[in-house]
Amino acid sequence: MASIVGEVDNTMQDPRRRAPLVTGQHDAASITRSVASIAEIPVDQTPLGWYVGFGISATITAILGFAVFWLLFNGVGVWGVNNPAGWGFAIINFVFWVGIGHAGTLISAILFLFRQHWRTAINRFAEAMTIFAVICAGLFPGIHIGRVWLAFYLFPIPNQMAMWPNFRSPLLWDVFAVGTYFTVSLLFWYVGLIPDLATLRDRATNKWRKLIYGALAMGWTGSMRHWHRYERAYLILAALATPLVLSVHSVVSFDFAIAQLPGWHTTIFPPYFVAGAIFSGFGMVVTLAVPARQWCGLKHIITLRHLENMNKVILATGSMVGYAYAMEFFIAWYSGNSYEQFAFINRAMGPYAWAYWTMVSCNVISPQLFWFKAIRTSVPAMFIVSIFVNIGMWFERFVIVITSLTQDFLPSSWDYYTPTAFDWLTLLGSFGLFFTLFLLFCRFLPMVAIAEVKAIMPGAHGAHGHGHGDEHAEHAPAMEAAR
Amino acid sequence: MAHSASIEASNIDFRGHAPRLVTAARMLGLIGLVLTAIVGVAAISMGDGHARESIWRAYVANLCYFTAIGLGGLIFVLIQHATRAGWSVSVRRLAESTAGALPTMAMLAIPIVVVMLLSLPGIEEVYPWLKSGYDRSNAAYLNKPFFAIRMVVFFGIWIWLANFFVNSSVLQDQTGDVRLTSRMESRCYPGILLYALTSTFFVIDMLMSMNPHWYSTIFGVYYFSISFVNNVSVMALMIFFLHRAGFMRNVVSNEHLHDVGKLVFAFTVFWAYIGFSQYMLIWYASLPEETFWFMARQSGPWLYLSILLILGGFFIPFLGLISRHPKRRAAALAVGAAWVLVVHWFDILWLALPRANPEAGAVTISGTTLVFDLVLSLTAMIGIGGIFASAVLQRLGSASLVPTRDPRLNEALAFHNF
Repeated sequence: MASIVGEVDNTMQDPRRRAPLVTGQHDAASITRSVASIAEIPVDQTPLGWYVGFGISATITAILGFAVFWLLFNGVGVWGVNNPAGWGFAIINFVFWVGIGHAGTLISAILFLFRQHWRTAINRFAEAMTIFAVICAGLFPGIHIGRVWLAFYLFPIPNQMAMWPNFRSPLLWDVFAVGTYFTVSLLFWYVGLIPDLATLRDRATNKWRKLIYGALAMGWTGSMRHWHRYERAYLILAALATPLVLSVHSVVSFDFAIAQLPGWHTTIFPPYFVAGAIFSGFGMVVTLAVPARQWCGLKHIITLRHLENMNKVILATGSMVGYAYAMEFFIAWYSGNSYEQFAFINRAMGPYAWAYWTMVSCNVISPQLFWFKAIRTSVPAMFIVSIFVNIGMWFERFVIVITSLTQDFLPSSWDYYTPTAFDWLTLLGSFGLFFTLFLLFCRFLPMVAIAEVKAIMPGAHGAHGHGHGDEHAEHAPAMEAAR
Repeated sequence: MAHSASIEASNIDFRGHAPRLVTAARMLGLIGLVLTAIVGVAAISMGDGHARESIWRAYVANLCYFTAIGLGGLIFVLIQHATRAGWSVSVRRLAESTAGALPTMAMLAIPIVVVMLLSLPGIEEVYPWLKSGYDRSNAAYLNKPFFAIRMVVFFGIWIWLANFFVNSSVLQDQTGDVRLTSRMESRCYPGILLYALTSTFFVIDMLMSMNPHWYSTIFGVYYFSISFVNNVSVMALMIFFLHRAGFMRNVVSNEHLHDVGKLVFAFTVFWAYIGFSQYMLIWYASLPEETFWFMARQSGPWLYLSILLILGGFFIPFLGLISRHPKRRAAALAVGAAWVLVVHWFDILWLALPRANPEAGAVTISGTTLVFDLVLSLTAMIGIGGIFASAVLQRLGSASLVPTRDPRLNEALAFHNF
């Protein structure tokens, strides 16, 4: 799968023409070939690198299995949660993973409504990432409840004991918000996959592939009528998913912000959590895209320009997060409320100052490097910054959850929270699960939305007869195909 | 290119019509200000002890309302450059013209700063931190000299940004220099940062500090949502009136109207989201140091205004604009846009007028004070609004209605929704 294609710089900006989003000499057939061939490698020719990656991820997933087994076998005491900090890693990891998912929905839904053509190269695997991240997120509330065999009590299921979850609790709202989000994301991803699954079906050379991809493609023939309905459905799903991007992390932020705890209760939390989620999600997309385009030979589709655009989104959302931090600090001082002031000074100078400054340097300072084009367009540099963003956003949730819980209004109840080995193993294991699912996706499904990329290639709309030269082809009226 | 012909066929030269309208708007504005003075003096002479306070509140509210439209124009222009937008080139000058009114808004802000510096009667009731005994810790921020300095900085930055982006765009009409587009793009990013900070602290100073005990971290975002939705609504109204008068017909099509309508719709929802977040979190936590601000707004006559905001600010425009049909018909969209503008005028009054007290919650005001509050708000709206409109019209009439040599204009002209 190793690529021999060099890096083509298509980040130059000339307002008179749109830069090409697919570099090199490519036509529809070669795009299909370059994406589909990755999923079509016969099982016995699977590259060694994939096996190595999958082996490592699967092993780490096994560690997750062990950590969860140990937790259920012994009880929540194997974690580091203690009396003031009843929510430890479980909620931190939950919020972290839900946040990661947000980039996928932003790319697939909001950038679609904004007609950002560059999204076509990255939307498929970003959406896949969303789904896997939400799976990882969903794990944590499930195992944190203590008696997992009663997990169905999370849902308001009618029962003869008339026992209901507390509808006033945002934790219950989370069940609905995340559940809806997962369902719509999955549908959106699957609907988008159908034409490409049909392509794989049509190209399949053995019976099993034909059967499986054929069943998944649901009888897609590519007729005009199919396309028409497909595009309508896609638009409607995009419109439904757009408010979900905002609502899910807003509801997650309510988990904290409805409380009276200083550091949790602040009104900017909903939009700030949404911006932070998109920030962390784009960090993860860049972390995944950089190696994926390299190893799968997709540099002509996921070009430097795509990466640069994502880095710009990271810079923008990172600055929004910085704005929220600054506003929280300013208002804590402005309010004259001694508890608020303590909470924020304690974050920066208290026992968890190390976590706070890790968060600030990773989330606020490191993305600011993207002001420089040289860094924004340097693949190694962006990879490093994207890792920092992932680390920083995990620490943000750590800082919010732990500093406020461990040192609240009553100094006699203060304590220091120390995660145990099982906390760390569960966190590590969730990354194993995420990468295992992602590697399986890369191996068996088209990583890039083939049909959508074709629609944004120069000349894709030549048949419409608007007489534009190539330079205008991308913004010809036939933009309807704007995906 | 075929598109150039459509620009020529379409009337984009507003210069001949502008002066008459500018004069009319300015006259209206002056009449409004004079009326405000007359009603104010009448109220004072009738012995209403709160009349002076009512004048300042009405003035500040309308200052914030029309500044919001100008700021919305500024951020709209900045975002178009940041995203290298193609579709919006043909409507961008409309936003440039509202942003271009910011220097005039700076002039209108001077009286408030002067009133503050002179401690004229009534202003201390509007801004309790002006009182001599005020000793809360935030007095280091809320004090006369620093307030005045901040206003100079905020308006200075906005005037600088607005002038740069409007002038560069107009200059390009003559030179056709593509580098201007690149220059605007490279400056828009720091511009957005500056906008975010200045707009936030402007509204904290002007409206939030009316209750110096009260605080909400989302307040700046709330004002941003009002700015944005107001500006795109003004743009929709401008398109409607210009089309009716025979301007821009081939340049701004239903496609552009549709997109402007989508933005009105989207930011109506965004406003509701921000407003809901603020209310829900404060209501749920129920901390007295925060709830008194809302208590004041859900007691007495203000309760009806709060309900009007929920229905009129969210439910009605949401249901009215969700379909694509009204967004693609200029008259229907104009009705929706006008509605949104009226509701958000009340929205700003809702922020500025109710008196709240951290100990007692709502402060009841007499019926006369309420009437004077509303009448003065209305006359100040005519006054400040007229002058704001004259500034906008003057900008509209000082260059062509479309950036004729913007490198992405062809893209805008060829643009179609699907």
